[in-house]
Amino acid sequence: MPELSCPVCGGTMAVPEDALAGELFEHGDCGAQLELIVDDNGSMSLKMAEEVAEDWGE
Amino acid sequence: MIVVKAGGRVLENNMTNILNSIAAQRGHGVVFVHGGGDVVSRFEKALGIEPKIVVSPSGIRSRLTDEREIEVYNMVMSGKLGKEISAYLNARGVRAVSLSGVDAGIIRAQRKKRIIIMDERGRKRIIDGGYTGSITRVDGELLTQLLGMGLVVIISPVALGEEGELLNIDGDTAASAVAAALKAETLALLTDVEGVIIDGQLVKKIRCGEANALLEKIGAGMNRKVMMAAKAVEQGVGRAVICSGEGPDPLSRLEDGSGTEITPD
Repeated sequence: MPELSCPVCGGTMAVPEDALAGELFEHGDCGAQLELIVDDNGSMSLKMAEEVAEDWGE
Repeated sequence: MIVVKAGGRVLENNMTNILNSIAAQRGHGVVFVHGGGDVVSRFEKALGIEPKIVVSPSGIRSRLTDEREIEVYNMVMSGKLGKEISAYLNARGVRAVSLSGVDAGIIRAQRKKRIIIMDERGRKRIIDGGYTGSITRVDGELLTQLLGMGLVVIISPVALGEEGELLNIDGDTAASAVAAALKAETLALLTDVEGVIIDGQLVKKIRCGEANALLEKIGAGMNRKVMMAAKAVEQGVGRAVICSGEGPDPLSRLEDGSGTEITPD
C-alpha cells in the first residue's frame, strides 16, 4: 500500500493500491478528511477535502 | 394553493388521470412540477448516450449530467414533457402555461462543480458534478401573479445557473422549493407507491422533526421525497402529502387521508 503524507498533521497514511483520484479518506491519527490527488504522471498525494455537499439532480 | 409533483414513471402510467385531477383542482391554484428521468434515459440511449446514475453517501440516486446529457435533459423536460402536459390541459379548456425554471429566471441554481458519491466499490469519492444544480432562489412573486391570472403553471425541472447555463435540478427538490416560496397550503408528491412504507406498513403521519431519523429505514427514491417534504413544511408549507399517483383522481387522496402526511412539529 502506498504511504502518503497527511497535509494536516504530517503523519503518514496508507491508501489502498486500487485507490482512485478523488477518493476520500479519514486519517485515523488526526481525523482529517483527505482527498486523493493523482497527477498526470500517476503520482499520488493527499489534500484536505474541501466541503462538498451531497447534491443531486433528477 | 397546491404544488403537485409527479415523477416520470407515474406520469407515464397515469398521465391523463393526473392531469384531469389537476384540472379539477385548478380553482385552488395549482403549480405542477413534472419529473421524467426515465424518458430522458430513453432518449439518451436512442442518441447513443449511456445514462450514468450515481449514489450519494446517504443513498440518494441521481443522474450524472454531462455537457451532452444536459442538452437531451432540457429537450425532453422543457420541450417534450412540459409541452405535452400543457397541450393536454389547454386542449381541455384549462389555461396552462409550461415554463422551465430558466424562463424569467423562475428557478435559479448554483452549479455543483464537484459532488461526492459512493462508487461501485462502496468507497466515497469526489467527482465532477457536471450540470446539476443546488437551487438558490425561486421567484414566488411571478408564480403568484401567474396563478392570479387563473393559469395552471407547469414547471420543468431545469434551472438557470449563475453563468447562464442550464442545470438539472431534481423534481422533488424543485417542487419543495416552489412550495416554500409560495407558502403553499399543500405540497403533493405523487409516486408509484402508496406512501412511505416502513417494515411493510404505510406510515400515515410524520412530523418534520422525525423525518431525518426515519431516512435510514426508507428506500432509495422515497428518502429524497421525505427530506424534501419535511424541508418544505419547515419553510412554511402547510403540509406535504406523499401518496400514490395511480387511479382515476389521484389528488382526491389529499382529502381522504391516503398516503403519508408530513406536518409541522
